[in-house]
Amino acid sequence: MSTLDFLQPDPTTLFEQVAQAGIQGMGGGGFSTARKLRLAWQAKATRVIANAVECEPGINVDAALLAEHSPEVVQGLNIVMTAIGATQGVLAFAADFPKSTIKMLCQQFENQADREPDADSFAANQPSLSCTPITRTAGAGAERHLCQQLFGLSLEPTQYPIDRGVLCLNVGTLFAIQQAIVLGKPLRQRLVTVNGDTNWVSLGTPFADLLTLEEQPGAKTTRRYREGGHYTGKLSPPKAVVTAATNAVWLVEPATQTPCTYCSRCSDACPEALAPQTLHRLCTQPQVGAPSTQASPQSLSESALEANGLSRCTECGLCNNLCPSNIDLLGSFQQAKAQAREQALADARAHRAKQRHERHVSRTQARAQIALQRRESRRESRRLKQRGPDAWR
Amino acid sequence: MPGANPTDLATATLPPKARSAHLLWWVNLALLPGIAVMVFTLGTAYLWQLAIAGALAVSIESACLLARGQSVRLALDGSAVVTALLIGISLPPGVSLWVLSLAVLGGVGLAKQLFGGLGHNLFNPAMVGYALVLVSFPAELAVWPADAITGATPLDIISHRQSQTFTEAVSSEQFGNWGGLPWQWINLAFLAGGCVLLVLRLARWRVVAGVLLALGAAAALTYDAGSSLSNGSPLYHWFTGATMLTAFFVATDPVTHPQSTRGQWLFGALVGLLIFVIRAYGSYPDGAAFAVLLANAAAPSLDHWTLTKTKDEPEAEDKHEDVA
Repeated sequence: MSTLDFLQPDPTTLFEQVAQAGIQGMGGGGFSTARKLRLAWQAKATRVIANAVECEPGINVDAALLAEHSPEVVQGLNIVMTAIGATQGVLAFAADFPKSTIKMLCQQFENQADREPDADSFAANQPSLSCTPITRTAGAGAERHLCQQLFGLSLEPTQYPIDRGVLCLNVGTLFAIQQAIVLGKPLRQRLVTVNGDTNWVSLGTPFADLLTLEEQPGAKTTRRYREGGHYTGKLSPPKAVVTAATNAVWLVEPATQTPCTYCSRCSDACPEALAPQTLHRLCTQPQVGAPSTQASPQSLSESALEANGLSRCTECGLCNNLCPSNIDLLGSFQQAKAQAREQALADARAHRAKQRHERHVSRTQARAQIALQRRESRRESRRLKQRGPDAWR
Repeated sequence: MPGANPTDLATATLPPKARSAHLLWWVNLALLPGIAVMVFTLGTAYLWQLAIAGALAVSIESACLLARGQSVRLALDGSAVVTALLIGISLPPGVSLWVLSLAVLGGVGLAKQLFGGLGHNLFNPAMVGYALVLVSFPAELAVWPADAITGATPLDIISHRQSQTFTEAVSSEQFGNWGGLPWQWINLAFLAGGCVLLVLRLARWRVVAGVLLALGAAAALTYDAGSSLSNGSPLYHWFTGATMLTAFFVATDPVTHPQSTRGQWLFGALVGLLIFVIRAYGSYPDGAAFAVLLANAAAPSLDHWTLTKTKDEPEAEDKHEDVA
């Protein structure tokens, strides 16, 4: 990796290096950080949020990172702000972090603010840095909620923070950027809360190997793991591994699935006011007159799923966590969505093929028509020749 | 959770979760007050009847699950016992064993397991079993104990009171006050048990309210202050026959009622209305079973009509252009 002057980084080189280091959003989204930075640079974002508001119980990685590595995080924030030309940087952290961490953070930011401006930098462009405690409530750490709370920006449902000049990065991502740019270290490990203990874990570690040190009930193969916090965490597939977006892993007791009793606990809780029990029935029960005929572009069950609002499901996983019958509702929705996407792609392919075929047919017909006309005219002229020149008279 | 230590939050274990089997056993428990009053007023034959029905239901369910290659442990999830208890309660005490067996077989075997087991039945299993024997053996089911009252249930008294006015019939010694002697207490007990279901959110209150309001409204609209042709006051209809049992325990079977909130209102109202119509104008003294079964048949349509519509999707042609 080539060296880069990280005090005055060239944006494109920086983005390239971030991409090379394999950095992804580490707050849980897992979006490519290089792309996000490039988008923010192109949109001329002026504000950067370093997000350390862990708003879900069961995750403790941001607090642990700031307790140990807040100088590196602040340096990462500085690098990003200088690269994209932002003027305001805010570290948003949960108000109930340990007092020692908060005190240290405040000192850190005072030092940054007090630092003498460089002689050649303009006062107007001098970035301002601050830190703000955020009360930990459900959803408080989401980008949109932070934009609202820190800057009073209320985003339209279709807008992203970048559309309003705000770049929001997790502190873990900023730390990874600092490590990559300053020390040349690619992203190879991250902090993960494993059954309540937060430790550095190499990316790619199977969940099954995370908990080997602890006494665990059940055979290793039958154990199930949940990824994420207690509110919206999801049951992981059996062979899941730690990725850049893994913030917490919990060992769960294997639960047996029993039939749905339509108790409506899921539909009472659904934030999108959907009826997960009905959607699940439509997803899992074979429908009469479904796909085999291909007569209609959309099968019966698919249109019924659409009518019941499957596409409005945000996959928050609340229904799974509430289901008394331990049904994997979310899994069936994700599968149905994937099938619908595939179906849409296949339909589009078929539609294009049909159009292509129609064009081909019309072309062939036109060509045949022309050939026929030519033949006709040739035959005509030949006939005229055979009659000889006298024929004209 | 302001002020809490993040370490506490991080190590907090998963919140305790309800279990389907526990929920279904709670329904059985909520039936107990009503059963106790029935045993007290109508005789201990009821206890035997309920026990036999329960054992039969569990064994039929186990056999069906075995035949379908599923875990036999599902037979003890409480749903078969609920069906058995509801059938046992509906049949008169001391009914022949084979009638009872046929009702349980029809309920658990036919209406539930043949349709795919728990959660897949279209009709309330208990009411299918009861209706099966009610239409097949009406004479067997018309014999109610003769020790406390003279053989007839309050609904029979009101149906066959000839020239007596409603007020006279109701105020007679053997009848009681509002719903007929043992039945008003039985209904009160089921009302109490039903409130437990509402508190535990095991029954949707909209269905219960729909049944009771529609029944009350229909009775109030046709009530003519107690003449000889009167159909009875709302209070009488609420506290007689199987009203409370139907409203709280039968109509609220979540598998067979609509899932949308408006659908649940309509479903409850339909049940209440049909109960009144069958009681007042039909040839059966009580119509709860038929009312519930008819409304069950309407449930999928009610769900379909009351679906919350999503925004209009672009036409299929546009979609193809987008993907291309």
